[in-house]
Amino acid sequence: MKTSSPLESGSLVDRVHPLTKLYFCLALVILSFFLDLRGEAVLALIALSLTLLSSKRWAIIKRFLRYVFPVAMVILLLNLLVYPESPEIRHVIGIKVNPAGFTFGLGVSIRLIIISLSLLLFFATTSAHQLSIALLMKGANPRAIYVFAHSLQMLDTLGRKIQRIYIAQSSRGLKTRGHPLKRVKAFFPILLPVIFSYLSESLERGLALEIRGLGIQGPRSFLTEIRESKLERVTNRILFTATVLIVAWRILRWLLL
Amino acid sequence: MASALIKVENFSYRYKGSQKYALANLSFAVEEFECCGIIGPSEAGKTTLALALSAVLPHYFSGGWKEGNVVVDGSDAFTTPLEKMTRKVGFLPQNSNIYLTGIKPTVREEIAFSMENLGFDRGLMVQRVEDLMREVGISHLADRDPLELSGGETQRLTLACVLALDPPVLILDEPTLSLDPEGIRALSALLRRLKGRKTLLIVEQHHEIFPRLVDSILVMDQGRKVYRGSPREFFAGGFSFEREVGAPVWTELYYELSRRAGRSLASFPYTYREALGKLTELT
Amino acid sequence: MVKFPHRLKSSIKHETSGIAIPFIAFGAALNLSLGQLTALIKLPFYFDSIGTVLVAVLCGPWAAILAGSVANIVSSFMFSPTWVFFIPTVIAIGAFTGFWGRRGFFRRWYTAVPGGLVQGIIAAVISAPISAYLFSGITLGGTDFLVIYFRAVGKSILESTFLQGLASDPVDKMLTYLIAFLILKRLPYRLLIRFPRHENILTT
Repeated sequence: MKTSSPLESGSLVDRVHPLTKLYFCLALVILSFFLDLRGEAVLALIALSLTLLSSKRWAIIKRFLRYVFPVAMVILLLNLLVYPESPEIRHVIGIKVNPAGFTFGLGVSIRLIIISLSLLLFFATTSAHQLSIALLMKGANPRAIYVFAHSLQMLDTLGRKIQRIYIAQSSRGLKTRGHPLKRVKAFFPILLPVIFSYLSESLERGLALEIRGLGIQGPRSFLTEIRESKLERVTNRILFTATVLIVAWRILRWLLL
Repeated sequence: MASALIKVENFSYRYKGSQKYALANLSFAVEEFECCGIIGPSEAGKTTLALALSAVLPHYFSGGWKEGNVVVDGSDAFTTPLEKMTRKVGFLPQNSNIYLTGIKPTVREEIAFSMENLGFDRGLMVQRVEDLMREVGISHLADRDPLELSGGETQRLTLACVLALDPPVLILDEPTLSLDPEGIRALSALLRRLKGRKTLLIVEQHHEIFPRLVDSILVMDQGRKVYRGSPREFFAGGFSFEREVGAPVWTELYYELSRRAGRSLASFPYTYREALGKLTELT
Repeated sequence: MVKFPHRLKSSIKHETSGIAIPFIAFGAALNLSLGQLTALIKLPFYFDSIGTVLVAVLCGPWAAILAGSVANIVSSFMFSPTWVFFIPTVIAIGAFTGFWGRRGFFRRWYTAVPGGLVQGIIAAVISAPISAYLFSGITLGGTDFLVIYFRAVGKSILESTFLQGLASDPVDKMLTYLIAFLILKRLPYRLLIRFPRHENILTT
């Protein structure tokens, strides 16, 4: 019977305690704001190698290419072309480019890459259920955790419901094309049924949650427990100390120079 | 000697913002281990009564107006904290699909939800989850996604969830509503197994499950009590037809036949066997 | 743990129990699903705070802050990971709309819509520095050309991002408030009465 840890499958990166993973990603994110270009490059390399070590590498890379990479490239390109802060301009194959803008754009896009990769890594390798348990065991508010887990689950059903009502209303002759004003009018006959049905559902579900004790304060127990190993606890402490030290050192250097 | 586990005394209730009494001057008692059916036309106040007994009314519908008392297992349903009341009364609402949390990935986890919230000992919880799945017959679904079960399976899972805190009183609001005939048979067999261990209150329109299940009935109309006593007397005596609340289908059949023949019968068959017996007498 | 003053704690509890819990989750999911609907009928807006606004008026500011934050976290989980950085913006939206609803301003369209204008300005002010530092103002969001234009005429990144936000946010938020008003107007009494802050809409 499976009762202890659900973190049995996947590579080492996947199996780390959700909060240790979160702290690590946060450390990368925070440091990316405080290091120079070379430091950023090191962080990006760390994030990238961890991504490649994870069993979810392709899912992460796919989402990275879809949501992050285009933005990073456009940021780089635009700052290369338009950077009013520096007057220095060079001509490269007949196009006016700005070297200072390039350096700046590079910094921003690498930082974006570090942040995105580490967050993607965290989100892709952590299930909502694991994260919920880990947070609840640290004393997080059960109602807030419920809202998080339920809306994640609802996203799927809500999307399908909107599709269904859209198709049903279009087949009843609702105009969803043509003049913008017509399309605005089509908005309500689709949205209102969705809201109504979820409102009555909320009423009943809220009742069920109350009698099942969601709102009760006091100690909770867990059918599936997710605990940190000794190594993970030590890692958390090292991560915290290292981040604080590096940030303090950088701030000190800025103040002194 | 059996004692009254549920006592409702001169109880009236009005929802917030409503002038109408949902329940009016209602008094009745239910003994320990009794199985009581609650029937009546729609808007009779059956669901409101179920909500009052399960302590949902005071804790969930704020701002209502009440008079009189509802006492379950020695605790006033209106003044006792919800965490204490949920251990005393298990309530199965009408729509069992929505009773599920919608966040738990497995049937096992779903059943454990209320025990987790009340901080049960983990060993006890693990054991009870297994026992409950066996009891309602869903052990083979233990690792399935609760939201992908059939209607009957969901109903049984919901019942396991309600039983998780081992409450002495169980209130079911139209449990057969969304079930197919097979599901209804399975459910009524399951409820019969619970009899003698739990005090059961069942709001139900599907009267065919009554003869082999309920010991007594409470008939309501417009928030008032119109009958409290033996179901046999009520159905066999033909009172259900005066009240227009329906009866087991075989009882209705005899009523309809006698009405068409223009004869009034002294009594109508209450159980399926009785109906069958009367038929064989004729042929 | 931070110890909250008692009144604050009880008001948070009031806004986040019973019906509010599943409704807040719905509000968060609605924020994220509306983009899909506006794409279906090809409207040039996202309306990605309608859920937060509905929760703010019906349940109150704390509930709305929860709904908005959860929406952004879920969004990071499912879509682009950088959404979490805009949580300050949704906190401001939740808090302001909660305040606006508390004054009873969602009972009439001509008091609701100006709130959207103020809300849009607040959102632009808070989002600008985040977007500037994180993306240098470029988000591939359709209004990037404004940022480029302002940059080309010599404005700083922060200024350009803020001006871009000012050009798009108030219109989006005014329409959001109007839509929320129209939805709220259609909700039946028996449903409304069950919400923690029903007095925001119902007059006693």
